[in-house]
Amino acid sequence: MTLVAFLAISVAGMLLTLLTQPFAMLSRLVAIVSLAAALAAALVMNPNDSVTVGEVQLSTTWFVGFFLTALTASSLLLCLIGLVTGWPERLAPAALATLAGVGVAISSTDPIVALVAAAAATAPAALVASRVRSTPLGMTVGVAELRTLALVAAASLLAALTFVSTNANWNSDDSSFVTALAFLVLAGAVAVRSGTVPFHVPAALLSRSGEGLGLVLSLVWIPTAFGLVALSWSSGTFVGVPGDWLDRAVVAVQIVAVATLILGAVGAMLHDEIEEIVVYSIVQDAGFILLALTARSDDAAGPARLWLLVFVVAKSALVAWAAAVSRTFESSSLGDLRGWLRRAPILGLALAAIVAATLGWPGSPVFEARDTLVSLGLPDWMHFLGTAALLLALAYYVRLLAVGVMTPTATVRRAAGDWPHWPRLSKVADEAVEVAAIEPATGEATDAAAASTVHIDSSPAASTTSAAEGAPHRRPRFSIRHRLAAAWRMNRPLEASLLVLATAVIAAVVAAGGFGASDASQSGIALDGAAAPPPNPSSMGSGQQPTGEPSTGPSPGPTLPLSLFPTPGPSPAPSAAASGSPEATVGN
Amino acid sequence: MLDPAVFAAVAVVLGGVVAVAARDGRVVVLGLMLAAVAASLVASPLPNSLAVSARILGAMLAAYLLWAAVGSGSVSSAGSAIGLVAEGCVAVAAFAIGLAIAPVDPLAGPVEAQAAGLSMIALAVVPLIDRDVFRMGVGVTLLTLGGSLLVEAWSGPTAPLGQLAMAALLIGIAGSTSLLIPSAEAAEAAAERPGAPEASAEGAEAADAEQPAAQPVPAPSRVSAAHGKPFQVIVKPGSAAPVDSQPTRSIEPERRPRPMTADPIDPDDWLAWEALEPEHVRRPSIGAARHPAVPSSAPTDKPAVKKPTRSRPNLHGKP
Repeated sequence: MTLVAFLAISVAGMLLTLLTQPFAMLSRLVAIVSLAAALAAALVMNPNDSVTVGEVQLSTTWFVGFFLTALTASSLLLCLIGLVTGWPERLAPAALATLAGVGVAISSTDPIVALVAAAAATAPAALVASRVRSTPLGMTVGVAELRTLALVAAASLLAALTFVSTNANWNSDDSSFVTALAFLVLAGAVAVRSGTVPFHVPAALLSRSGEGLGLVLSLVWIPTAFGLVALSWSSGTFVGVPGDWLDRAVVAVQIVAVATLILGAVGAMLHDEIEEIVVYSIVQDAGFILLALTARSDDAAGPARLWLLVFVVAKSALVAWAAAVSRTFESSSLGDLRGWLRRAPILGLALAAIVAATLGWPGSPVFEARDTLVSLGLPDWMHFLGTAALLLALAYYVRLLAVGVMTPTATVRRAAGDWPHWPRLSKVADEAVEVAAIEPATGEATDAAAASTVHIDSSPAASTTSAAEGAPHRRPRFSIRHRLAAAWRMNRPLEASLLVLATAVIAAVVAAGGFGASDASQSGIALDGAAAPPPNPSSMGSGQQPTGEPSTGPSPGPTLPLSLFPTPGPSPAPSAAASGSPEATVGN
Repeated sequence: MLDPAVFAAVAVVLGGVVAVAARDGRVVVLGLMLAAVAASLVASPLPNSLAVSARILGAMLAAYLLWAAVGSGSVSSAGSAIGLVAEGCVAVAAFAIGLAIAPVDPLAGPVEAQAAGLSMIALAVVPLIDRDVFRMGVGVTLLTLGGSLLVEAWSGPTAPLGQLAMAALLIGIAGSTSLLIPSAEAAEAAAERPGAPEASAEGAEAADAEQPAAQPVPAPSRVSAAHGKPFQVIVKPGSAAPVDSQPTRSIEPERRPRPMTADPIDPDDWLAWEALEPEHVRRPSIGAARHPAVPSSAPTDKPAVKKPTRSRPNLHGKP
């Protein structure tokens, strides 16, 4: 029932948020409350929960709950940051719709349901991309978005076909061509959705369209969820499967992954706009998802899941960091942001935490996960690319930090930074605020309150006139409530920086294996239990049943002392009859 | 007696042909709705009422979303380049091939589903390579319908939750299309913009002939869109753009500085032209420049001589 509650909250929240869009404040309130409720439902999600809907079982595992919690928490934190830096109108409903789709996709034991739901979960990206539809750039973005959706839908349906085709007999001499084609199309869908090289142009256009926080939905959350389902499908279908066609498809995906690891980092180093640097950083790290697809080994499943968890939280923090920097300094160009670290040390700490979460350190789980994915996904002679990608990523992060310690520009000096500020109201402003508190019903009080607001945020010279106009002949008595309200308004950059720092710290903890992330990543999703035996080319043409070794189901997760879930135990291994195995699925 | 799946498959093909060939946006939506509704019935045996209801409701909701986007009549499809008959022939040929071939033996579903699925995929190819957002959305919908029909044919009846997921996917595609359809003004602006990818070559040449050459100006730093501040370049007419080490980019035509004109005169107002001194103005011919009073900014060989400004005494004591 906890899964049903999560799905119901997500769908209802999405609908309510969309319906209340004309009322800005109400829509924001509904969005925040819906995300908070969804986060609570994800946190209390029972790892052994299951519900049957029309012959298909939806079952949760430990990792399913953890992944949904990470997605929901990232959504909520980014929306809270959006309250400070600029509210992304359509991010919250799109995130809620994606959460509902992802919830069905990763808990379904039926491969058709899982893959179609994963494809449907990618559609809400249009909600974010449509924000710029009235511009020529928006038309290009829209065309790219629809083409990506077409590829994702086609790949999902083809993958679903190959997953359940073990009972069907392909009339072909080499039926591995079909599964290799499905692998190539599905990996292509993951690559295009993630914006990997050479499919990075739509992502770059999206960064130039000023999406801000909305970038994270299109480039992080949706590709990660779709990649998770694709990884489960891949590991369940291709483990130990020989075939020339499949080898060629894997080589093609490896080329894309290598190009992404190198050129993504180069792109991040060459660009001067923070949004573009962030986008290329996301693109580079998405290359590890492709490496996990090419690994074709059970050993890659755990590291890949851990990497996906870290990817979600760390890249969400990075997008939030970029939005906070742009908001604090009113510019997103590195040329204007020299010295940003001196004025915003909390954002500097957040960036350091993000770097630690993304790259890890020797011995840390995320570092080992990256290393494992490179080792299993690439040939031996290309393992140096793992180190190269690490160093290149480190280079553009160090560049950001180095720019921050340089001599501040006028733009940076003009900004307040994220140091805490306390309103130092002059005597005249105190009087004005006092009048506003004493005579709230009169028009003079309103004018005086306005004057006080102007006086707080402007220079003393500029406020002299307004203060003189509204100065009453009373003994001032200042209210702490107004002072607190003024302090809240003055410290918006500090609030944004603290939220970004919290997100970055959570990412670093997850990267270090905290909250039970390491052990949760050892358990799979429900689709893993429905892994079909790989089709054997020699047997497919003759109508015999495939004889390949079935992949292992989700391994049980050990009990953790630090867990987000109430009963962290072994994830259930869905039974063959109810888990959508070929015998159970075909012919339902 | 014929299987109802046959009628449903024929209805799917008919709806697909109408959706691809029609030019009126509302007819396109009706064709898509016919195809989507009929696709849920191409099964043997028919799925239970819950699954069929979910698919039909999903198809109607998807059609409604598209109808809301095109209902004003401002959005229309480019239609088929080869015509209704040719599209019908393509669909029928693909349908016949689907009836003849057997890539999977034995089929778990009706062969009509395979035929209709191949027909839908064949119809979706051309719209998918178009650059019209609405037409591309039609292509994505047809491709998804075709894929779902192939799944039905090759792997057997889909579970009710699978039908529900398919309905959600169709709604998502229709919703994405309706959201991404640009407004008519934006589409016209994009079509007239020389640098835009959507602009035709002829349109670009015509626009370049009317507009002066692009002036390089320093590229300003973009401000985060979170603040809602637009990208704006302001260059005062007649003043040289500041040059520094920043890279340059061309100003878009509508943002180019207009030549400074004293009093724009209607080219058709001949009395006004006669009243002016003939040595200062040139009578415009039919089809001449739109801004007749541009002698000061017209390119000449002589350097512009700045007239000395007459200093006036400050009688009021104002600064």
